[in-house]
Amino acid sequence: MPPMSLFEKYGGFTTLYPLVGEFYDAVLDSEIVSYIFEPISMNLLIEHQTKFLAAMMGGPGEYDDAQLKYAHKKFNITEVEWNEVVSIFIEVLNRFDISEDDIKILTRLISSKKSLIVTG
Amino acid sequence: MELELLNRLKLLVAICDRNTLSPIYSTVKFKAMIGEYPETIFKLFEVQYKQFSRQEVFAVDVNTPYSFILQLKDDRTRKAIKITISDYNESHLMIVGEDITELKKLEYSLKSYASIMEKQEKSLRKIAYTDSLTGIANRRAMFKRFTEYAQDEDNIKGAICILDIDHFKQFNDTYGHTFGDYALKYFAEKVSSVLDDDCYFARIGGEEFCIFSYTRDEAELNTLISSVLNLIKNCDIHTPHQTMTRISFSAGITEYKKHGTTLNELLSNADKALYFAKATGRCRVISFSTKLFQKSDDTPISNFREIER
Repeated sequence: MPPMSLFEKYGGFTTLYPLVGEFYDAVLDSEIVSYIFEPISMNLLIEHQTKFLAAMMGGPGEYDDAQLKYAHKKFNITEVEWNEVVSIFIEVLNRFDISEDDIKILTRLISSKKSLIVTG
Repeated sequence: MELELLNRLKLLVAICDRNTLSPIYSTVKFKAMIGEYPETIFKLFEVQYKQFSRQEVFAVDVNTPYSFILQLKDDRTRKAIKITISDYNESHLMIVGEDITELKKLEYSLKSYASIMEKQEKSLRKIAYTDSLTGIANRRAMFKRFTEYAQDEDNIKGAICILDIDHFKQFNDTYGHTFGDYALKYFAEKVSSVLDDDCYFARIGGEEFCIFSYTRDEAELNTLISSVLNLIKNCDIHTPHQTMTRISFSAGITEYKKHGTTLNELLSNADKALYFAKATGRCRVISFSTKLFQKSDDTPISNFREIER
């Protein structure tokens, strides 16, 4: 039997949805990165975050690197902005009783995508 | 004092003049998120809700409230607010804004998740019904297609053909499995390219393929498959040994209703015709008939099965 994904381990969509909800609020609340997210409609932003987080946690769907690079290119995201989003993400994960080890796994996964996202 | 109570609620509430939308009362939250002057209220509605119509506001009466959803900033976060403009009294309207952010988040997230699942289901379904090597339908797909076809009582015609590549084992033994796989892909592509929409083509075993024609009878399918055989057997294939080779196949044909009504029955009879084709020299197309069956009494069917393909 294949090992259980983080997506399954933490309850699938039942956990994913509030995680997306909090992440959505938190990025819009950030002085550093809110300007990036504000012009994106709630519908699109939630859709994007749901797809991205589900795939990243080993759930259904796929997120290929080319798509990730293309989607972020126009924002010219800087190192500071990247660090801000990663720390928001970790903070949100901490609110969801996700174990430290699993947070490390997710952070490593996100970090591996840094070169695709940070272009500014 | 009574209205002060409204400030404690999460709702945004205002009582406005019916014609100008000038508020005679509004809660603190309403002022902060929507505004307190008629034009700013109208402008906000128009900017945030593209289909907003002032005419619809003026048309509000006891039976016709006007509702729409806005995305508004509340401090730093963004809220989805459902605005309902309803009748208050003869000269005033009541505007109520209800925070439905959580509901909308759930709706959008669920929609997104449902679309991922739908996509995933489609791709799993495709995998389940596709032969991974050749990309054509697999055995499971052939049975599904046939069952769908047979369920419709109006479908009374049709014929089935089993095609088996001749000496396939030798291909593998001589040139290796990679070339064997290549030969299977080449064969599937070549056959697909000459079949019309009347035919459903699947790989049902190792080097065994099946064609289901919806409208042809056994003789018509025999003609078609014989032309396919003529095409295939004359095509040169480059081998890994820098030589050229050719492939041929043997085929057995049965007719729907005449030689069976289930796919298992039809395949079983087509198989008998196929083994007859193999036993009598390969590279030929044989239609099933009971006469053929009688001939095979001289040589038991089990012996046919032992013939090297």
